[in-house]
Amino acid sequence: MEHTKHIIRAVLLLVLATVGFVLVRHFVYPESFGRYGHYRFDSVAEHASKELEHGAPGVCNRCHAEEAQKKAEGKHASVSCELCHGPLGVHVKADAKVGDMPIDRSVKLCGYCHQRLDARRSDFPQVVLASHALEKGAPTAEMACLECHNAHKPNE
Amino acid sequence: MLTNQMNDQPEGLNGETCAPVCDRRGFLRRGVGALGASVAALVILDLGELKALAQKAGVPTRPAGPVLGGYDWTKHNYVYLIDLRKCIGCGSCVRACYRENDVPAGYFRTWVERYQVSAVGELVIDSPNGGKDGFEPSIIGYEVAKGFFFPKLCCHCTNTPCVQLCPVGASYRTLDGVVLVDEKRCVGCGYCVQACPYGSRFLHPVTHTASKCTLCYHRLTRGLEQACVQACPVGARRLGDTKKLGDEVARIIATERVQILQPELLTEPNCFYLGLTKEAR
Repeated sequence: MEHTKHIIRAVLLLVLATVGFVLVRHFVYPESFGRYGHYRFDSVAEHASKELEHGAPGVCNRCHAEEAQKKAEGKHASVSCELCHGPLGVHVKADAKVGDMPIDRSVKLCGYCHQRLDARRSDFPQVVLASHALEKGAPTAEMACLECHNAHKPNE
Repeated sequence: MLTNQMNDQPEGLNGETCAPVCDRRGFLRRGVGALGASVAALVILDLGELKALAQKAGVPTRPAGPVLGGYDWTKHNYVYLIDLRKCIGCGSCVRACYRENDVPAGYFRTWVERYQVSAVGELVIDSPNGGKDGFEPSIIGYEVAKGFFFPKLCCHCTNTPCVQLCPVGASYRTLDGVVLVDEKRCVGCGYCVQACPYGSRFLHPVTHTASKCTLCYHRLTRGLEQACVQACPVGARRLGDTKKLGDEVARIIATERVQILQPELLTEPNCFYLGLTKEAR
């Protein structure tokens, strides 16, 4: 049995390597890695816990019921408040007012949807912004849309 | 003759004092035994380690679903539907995505392309700033016979190439069908950016990690629709859930003629299109 010690050494080396592997793996791999697949599960929770910027639909009605009602009756019923006014996050956070909602009265904002474009489907209401005001008898072509149209109820 | 020689050898060399260890067969037998024991030890140790981890986390390793603050991701499977016949190309979705997800300027998690096709098949495609600033009337030199806007985003493929080749396990697909990037693990090698056939990934210029549409996972898990879906004034973008009973979008995908982008790649996208046409690519 004089060669037994060689075998014991080899086995010891293997055991050490195994323990080392498990230890290194334990410290190198994040705790939640591999729980559901080849990724860190905590990352899912990190994504899920990101803060909201846009609010839930209809959340504006809580304080601005009158405007919301007006909009719901008009042709802009399917347009969300935040589309024109910006995300709720700049105005309200955790049910407390943090700032004023920006109000954009520019022609450009209306033009995003209503500028006449060749690629835009023809059944959607659209005008040539450069000449629309003049055609309707306005003194200048640069007149703001909102001087004639009500953004909340444009058909009025 | 041969067998005799082999049997004779140990006796001839060492006499009776050296028993089976010395001969080759005995040595191999013991060696293999030791090796087997070591492998067994390794397996047992590693299993123990995994079990300990699972117990510490208090969840079974597979396949039950965890709850993210009251949200069970095994009860959802999200799909996305874009109706090209409805889209007016206003770019509200792109602007909403920017505001919701803090997208770096010049990069896009979703964008809108404008297709203008002439009667004889000439084609001009443009997407100024991804459609974020809307579209201006353009002079292209022919009358547009077929024009449409083409919103694009991550297709959240079932068989996705970007997840398959991530070398560090930073890209993954959640149980509710959303492809996400772990920004803490990503090393910014950019393999996934090149692998995506839909061009929906980019390297973030500040963090230098891969970034992409998360399908507004922080909104989904709170029961809300994506910023882009909520922003669309004409209902061209819609969110569906195939695990939700009576879901309208799931019904449309199951019963109507929906199409996917680049089906020949077998990536099984979960972003479906209505009104796709031959020019769209």
